[in-house]
Amino acid sequence: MKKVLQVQNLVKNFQVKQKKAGFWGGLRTFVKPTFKEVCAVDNLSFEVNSGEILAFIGPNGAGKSTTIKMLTGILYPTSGELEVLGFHPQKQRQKLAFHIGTVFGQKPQLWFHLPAQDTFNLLARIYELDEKKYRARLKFLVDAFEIEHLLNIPVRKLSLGQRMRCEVAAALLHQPKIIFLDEPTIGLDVIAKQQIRKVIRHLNQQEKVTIFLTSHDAGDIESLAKRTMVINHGQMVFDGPTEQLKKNYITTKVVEIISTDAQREFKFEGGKVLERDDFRLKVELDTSKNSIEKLMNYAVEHYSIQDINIFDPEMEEIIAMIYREKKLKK
Amino acid sequence: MIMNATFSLKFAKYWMIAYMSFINNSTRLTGLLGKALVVLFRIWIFVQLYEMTYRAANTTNIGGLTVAMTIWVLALTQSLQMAQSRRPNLASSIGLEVKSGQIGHSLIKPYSYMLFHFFSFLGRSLVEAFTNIFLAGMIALILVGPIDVTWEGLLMGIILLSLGFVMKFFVLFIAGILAFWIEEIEPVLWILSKAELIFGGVILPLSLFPPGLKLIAEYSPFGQFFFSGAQVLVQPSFALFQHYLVIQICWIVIFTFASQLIFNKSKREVALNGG
Amino acid sequence: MIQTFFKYVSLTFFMLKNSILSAMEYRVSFVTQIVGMMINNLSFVLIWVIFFQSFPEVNGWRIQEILLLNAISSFYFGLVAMFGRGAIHLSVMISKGELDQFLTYPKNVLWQLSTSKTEISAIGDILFGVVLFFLSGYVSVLNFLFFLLLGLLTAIIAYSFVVITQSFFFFVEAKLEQTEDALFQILMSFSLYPQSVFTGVLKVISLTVFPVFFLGSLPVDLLKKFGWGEFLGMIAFAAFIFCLSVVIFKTGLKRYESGSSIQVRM
Repeated sequence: MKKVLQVQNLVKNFQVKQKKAGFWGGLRTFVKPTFKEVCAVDNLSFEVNSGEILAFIGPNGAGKSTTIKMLTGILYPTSGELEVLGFHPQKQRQKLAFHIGTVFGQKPQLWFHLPAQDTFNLLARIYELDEKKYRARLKFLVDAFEIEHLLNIPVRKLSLGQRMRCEVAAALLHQPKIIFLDEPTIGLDVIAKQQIRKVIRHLNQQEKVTIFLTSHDAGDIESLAKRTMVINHGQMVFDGPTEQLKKNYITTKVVEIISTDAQREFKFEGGKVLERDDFRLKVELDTSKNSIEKLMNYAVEHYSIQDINIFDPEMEEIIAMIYREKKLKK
Repeated sequence: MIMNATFSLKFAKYWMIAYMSFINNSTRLTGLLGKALVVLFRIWIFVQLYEMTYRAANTTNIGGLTVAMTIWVLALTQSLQMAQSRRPNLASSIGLEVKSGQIGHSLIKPYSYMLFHFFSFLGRSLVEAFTNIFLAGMIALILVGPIDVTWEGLLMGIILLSLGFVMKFFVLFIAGILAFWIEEIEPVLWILSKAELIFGGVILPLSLFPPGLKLIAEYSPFGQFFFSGAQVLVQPSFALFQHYLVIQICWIVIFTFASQLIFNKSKREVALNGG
Repeated sequence: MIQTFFKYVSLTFFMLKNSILSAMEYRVSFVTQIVGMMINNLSFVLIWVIFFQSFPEVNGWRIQEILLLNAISSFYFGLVAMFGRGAIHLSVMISKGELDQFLTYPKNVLWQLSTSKTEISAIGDILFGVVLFFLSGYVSVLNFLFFLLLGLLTAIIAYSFVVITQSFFFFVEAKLEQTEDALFQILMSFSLYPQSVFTGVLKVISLTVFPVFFLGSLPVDLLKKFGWGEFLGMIAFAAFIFCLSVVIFKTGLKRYESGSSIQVRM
């Protein structure tokens, strides 16, 4: 398996100017500024193989964007080794740029007042694509993303979901080997999200594009990424299969009981009632205190059960727990 | 008694608006300094240009002004003109309000609307005007030295400048309201600002104009915005003051009538189009 | 090397086309802008026409020389505004982190940011410059071609000036508000006055900090009477200031990329 990304002991420190308040403070800051060193990325090391889809998550300020910027050549590292597709992002920025694609959810690259087609044409020239190959590639992407009818409408008239599909298509025109997706589904409705995810998965399977995904959306992570890296305070907190992430952080299960006597008192060690109405009882079970099996027995004994559902906690909850640095359940 | 209280409350309200604009603008120091820097260079260039011009004409006094006086006049007109041409332009803001229909609400009380805009325009321009004048004045002082200013000159000058300011406000305001009838008021604003540049004595003082054009400039509103006041301040002459005052008052009367007319018409527009 | 140059030239026109199309989409009147710009330039010239009515000659400069001066100024301003408008906003781009996007593309960053914006009314400036040239009385076919060449050279100088002054903001963190183009404004207004009137410190400034001598006086002199020394001097200065601007920009960009200009850009 070919390695597309190799990061070793990556460190990024920023000198942040200490601003003092008030007029005299401001003056002092201007004349003789003091700096505080902030460590945004603290000794990060990882490798990514060709064809992986990888989720890179962490709270705001954790160092995600900084890391991505270093990988794409926008920012220089303070120290450490960094190799992307065999290139050194800092020294070979332009060469690398031919092979990577980026989609920043908050910073669109499509020209706002022009139809997407125009931006595509421009990108074809920026990436120096062969005319025939470009046309073929464009057709392929247009079909895959179902954006044919959108191509000649000014981008500002498109809905957010339509715009994102075009944005992702734009990032793929030049057949990059890696794409960095930063919050690609932000602000999209459920259907639009699914569409984007479908295409990304499709591309990954067909073309073995490596995908580096940042998202706060648990659904993105669950449905796309086999591997997840969690970063916090500039350090790698978790790097492994997404499934394992869920397992490690699951300390509870949610059980929903549908019954005619849902109002009956619930008393079970380790169980906490979350919601209750006439026919429904939702309970959270701390799996370290008691087992699902025992809860099932208790439920069957005390309620005339018509239906029962068991859930893992939401991905959001899991991520929230990681952010709050709760103890791992190994 | 009640009338007084209401009036003073209203007045207080408008002064508050001016004060707020004032405060809002004094924090933009760097922007002000940048603009002041532009003025600095302009004045400097004027000094060299006009010194050479006077030398070429072999005289020390043209149109009643010496080189030094001319420079001070230009320092004033430049400072004021730049202070009043801040973006967003008053006329454009009003134009936008017309376009967006916001003005519909305000037209119920047109005089309040006008006063509100007047005072915020005043507040905005005042800070810049003072900064510009201060800096331009310093430069003028260094380069050409002080000139004689009498109390009469100062008083007369300030009166003319204040009225000139009111005139400027009227012109911008009316231009903005024109948005009711003209699709794009931008070209109108363009022409107005260019006319102001040429006939306002901002770059070329009216005293240096050839005779025919000089008259046109003086009688036009543009010559009355800044130049007449600046000239009288620097070259106190009661005759000149009277002359300019009459012209200014005539224009203000005309503008007042024009605004009345336009308000009535625009109320109709709003009623027709629903704002 | 030559190939790359032509690649960028053709790309520039492509970008320009996109910029114009983009601007046409949301600006109501294309024509109004161009005409507006011509009126704007005309008013400056009118002031001089009035001036020279009263004073036919000042230190060797008459109305014809002023016309030539304005012709050149409009022309190079139009060229810069059309092909390098983005550079005038470099300082804003730096503070907003907008250069990041350009860094992800496989093209020269300075070129990208310069061509990212265009001013349509600049066509008015260019046309106006040409018209003025024909009114100036120094007309001939050869001179016209020479005028175009000088226009190109002065455009390079003015552009380099913009890049240098805007690049200051790579190194200095300052509140921008309206200062961004204050410097350029100064340059422009400086260059619209008959430069024979400049003496002393101002003259020195016009040769160095704000190189208006090369943007005004010199081209006008050359158009009146060609001299090889002056011409070569002009080319040399243009080359020098352009290289300087590229060096300063590159240095600033390195600083940007090492994150020192960051406040909170994450």
